[in-house]
Amino acid sequence: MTNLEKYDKLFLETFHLQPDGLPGLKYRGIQAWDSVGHMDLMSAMEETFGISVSTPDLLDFSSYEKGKEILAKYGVEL
Amino acid sequence: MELAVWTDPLSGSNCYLVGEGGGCLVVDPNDPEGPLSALEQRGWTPELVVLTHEHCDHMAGLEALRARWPEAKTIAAAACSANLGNTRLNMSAVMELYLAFHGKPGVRYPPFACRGADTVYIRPYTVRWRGHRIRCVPLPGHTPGSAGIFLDGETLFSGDYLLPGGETVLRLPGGSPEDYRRVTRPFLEGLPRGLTVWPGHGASYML
Repeated sequence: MTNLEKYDKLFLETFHLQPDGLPGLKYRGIQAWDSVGHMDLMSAMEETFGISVSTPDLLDFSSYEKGKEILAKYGVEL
Repeated sequence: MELAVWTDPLSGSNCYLVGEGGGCLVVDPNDPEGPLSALEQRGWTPELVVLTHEHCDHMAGLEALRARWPEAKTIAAAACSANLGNTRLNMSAVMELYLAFHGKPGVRYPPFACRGADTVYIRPYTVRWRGHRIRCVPLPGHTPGSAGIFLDGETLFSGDYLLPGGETVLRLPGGSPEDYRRVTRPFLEGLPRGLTVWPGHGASYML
């Protein structure tokens, strides 16, 4: 599985989405991606990629696209 | 018997200290300093430590308590015990995020792991302590290792269930709405009137 597939799977499984719901997806853009959903997504992401993301970056992780930029800072290329 | 509460100012979680004849039953040692100071002030020696679940805001003082009183035995649901050492499932990996969402940005909360319990259970488990009956009932849903802790059938330490005015959170890592619907909600709905609930956050009340 590629990193992008792993990344997508995190969103699909955490928020029970279909793949066409990922582009443009934003924090609080759907009911499931609230603060509780965000903590679940972030902890799953750290475990999936074996990284520890700083809290400011976790707070800055505000969309599907923004998350890709943040992961790149930690050496995870999608 | 005397019951004391120590509330963590950071997370708002409650640690309960049940004193009896100089010994103490500790429910959810939630901080490395506060509950220990409260025990020292009262001259109580912790003999049993019981966990309502594996989240860090309910067991952040467990290792400090063990270091100070190595004889104290810890009891937890098997899943709780297993998850104490997992920074994702014990939530310490994202506790800074949680605190930021709850109006406390910038607080340092390094992830940490705890060792497992001395006694674990997968079915309801009863232990006698200084003449009291402590019954631990697995109640999965909020976490896989959540449990209700009954003291003499009159008091329930409910952890993160039955929070006053609060909704039960089932979407954190390891949470299971299915387990909650199948096992825990029917159990909680069947609790007798008159039971005193001491929740993991907030004030006690009577059902």
